[in-house]
Amino acid sequence: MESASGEVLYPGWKANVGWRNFSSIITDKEIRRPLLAVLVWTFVNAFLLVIISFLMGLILALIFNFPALRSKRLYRTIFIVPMAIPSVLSVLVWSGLFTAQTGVIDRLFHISTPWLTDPWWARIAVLIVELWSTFPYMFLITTGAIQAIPGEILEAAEIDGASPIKAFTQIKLPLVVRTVAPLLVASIAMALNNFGAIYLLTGGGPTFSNSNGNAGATDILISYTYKLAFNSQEGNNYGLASALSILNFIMVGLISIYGLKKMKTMEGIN
Amino acid sequence: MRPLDSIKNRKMHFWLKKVLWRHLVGILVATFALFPLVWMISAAFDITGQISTQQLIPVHKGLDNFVQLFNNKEKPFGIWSKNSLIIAISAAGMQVIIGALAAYSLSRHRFRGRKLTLSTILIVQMFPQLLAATTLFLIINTFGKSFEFLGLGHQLPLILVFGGSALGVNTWMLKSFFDTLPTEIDEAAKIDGAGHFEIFRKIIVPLATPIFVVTFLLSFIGIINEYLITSVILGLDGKNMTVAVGLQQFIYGQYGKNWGPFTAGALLATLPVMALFIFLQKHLVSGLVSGSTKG
Repeated sequence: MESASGEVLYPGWKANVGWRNFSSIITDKEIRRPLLAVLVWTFVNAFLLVIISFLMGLILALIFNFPALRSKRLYRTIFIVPMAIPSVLSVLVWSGLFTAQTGVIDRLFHISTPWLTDPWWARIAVLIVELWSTFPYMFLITTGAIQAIPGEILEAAEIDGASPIKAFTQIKLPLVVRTVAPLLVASIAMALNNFGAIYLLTGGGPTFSNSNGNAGATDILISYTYKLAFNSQEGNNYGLASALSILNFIMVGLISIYGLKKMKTMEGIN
Repeated sequence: MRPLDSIKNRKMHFWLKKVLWRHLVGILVATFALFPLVWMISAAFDITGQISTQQLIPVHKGLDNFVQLFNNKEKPFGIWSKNSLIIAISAAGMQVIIGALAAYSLSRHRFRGRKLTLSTILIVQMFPQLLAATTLFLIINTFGKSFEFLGLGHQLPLILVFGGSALGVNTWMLKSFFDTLPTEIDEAAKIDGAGHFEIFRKIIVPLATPIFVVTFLLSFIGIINEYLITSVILGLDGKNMTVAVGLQQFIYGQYGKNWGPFTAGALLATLPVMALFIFLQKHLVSGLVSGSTKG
């Protein structure tokens, strides 16, 4: 590549642009419109995932924390299998399973779903895969939290005549939420940056027709940034990618700090 | 009715009412958890290599996919495995050593800025390293101009990058373990004339071996799993890739997806990791949960 003055340019060439990379996020319509959609999905995806997988983990923990149930340990071992498979590989296998019509899932249920080509189905597919890889962790931490509740409290509630539902909503749930809250905040921060699941499953696609060919319906900020920097048809825009990285950095950081402050985790340090 | 029967009956009734549905839920969730793994195994042994005709029990069984995987000169699975192991073992080792040294001083010393350090590394941890992919690419590109072995396409810079990447979790996990070791032992050693490094090497390290193993394994799995930074720094040149990046090349692109060798390779890469994970699950689980809740 050559610059306007005929100088040969190598990857990583520099020019001082001041704040232009940041201001273009707001002023350039071609950047702003897809970026807004990407931002919304980044947050919706992270919060939905953490809420759904937490609920699934909690329900499973309640069901399987039952002394009379034999083979509890066998179930636990099977449930944590998703954590043990290298996620890069499992996500790629999922992408094969989700192939429309010829994919395993569609043939299994005799349906024809445009899993990875329709924006909404692609979002659902992303959530299913993310749920598959995160529910074991949620199951483990909620099981730990439930087992840590002192038995006397629940006994006292029973003597006082609390129904099982009341004992759950008024005692178990608040105690569990308080124990795992810092982990949930950390999970949200991680989900905001869950690059692998999205980039390898859908590549961020299907791409928006009205964007400059880059952003897609399942893109989160981090995958969009990666595509801008390393995988762009219009040349690699390291500048804009770095500016977006910094914004992402600030965003995730603020959420983490807010969450940790709220949970008072930091006070217990000694 | 004899009393024994009625007890049996009651037990049966209890089982039907309270246990049976738990098994049903368990089987359903287990199916969900194992679903991709089962298909991975089935596709690996199906010689047609077509995901579109894939049956749960393949019609044409054979080891063709594994033969193809190892005989592919452009996509050398053996070299990728070697690369992955070199990078993951050395970087995970670095992570554990650096984390242990940091954890020792944060657990045993009292100095100004100690709490700030602890909270800072926890928050820095929240920003995944992959945000820095662009910057790392440019930095290592610049390094490569002066020192070739530190440039793009070489393993050393990647090992150095990964070596510091999980400092937050590791330090917290190790520190919370070191905190449980009584300081009286240290003091006794100190009176006997031991310096800090001696205390660390002769007392803490032997006592903390199990937690080192857990930390190493979690780091190892994390690095084996890494895709983004590895692909950016090592590039997509056949011999340079790791298993995670390389296997993806089999199914890259719209056409010519080669699922057979891909699933065969994925299976080979998954089984050892999974065996370790299940074998050590008790330690790993307690490490994961305590390391994060104790904060």
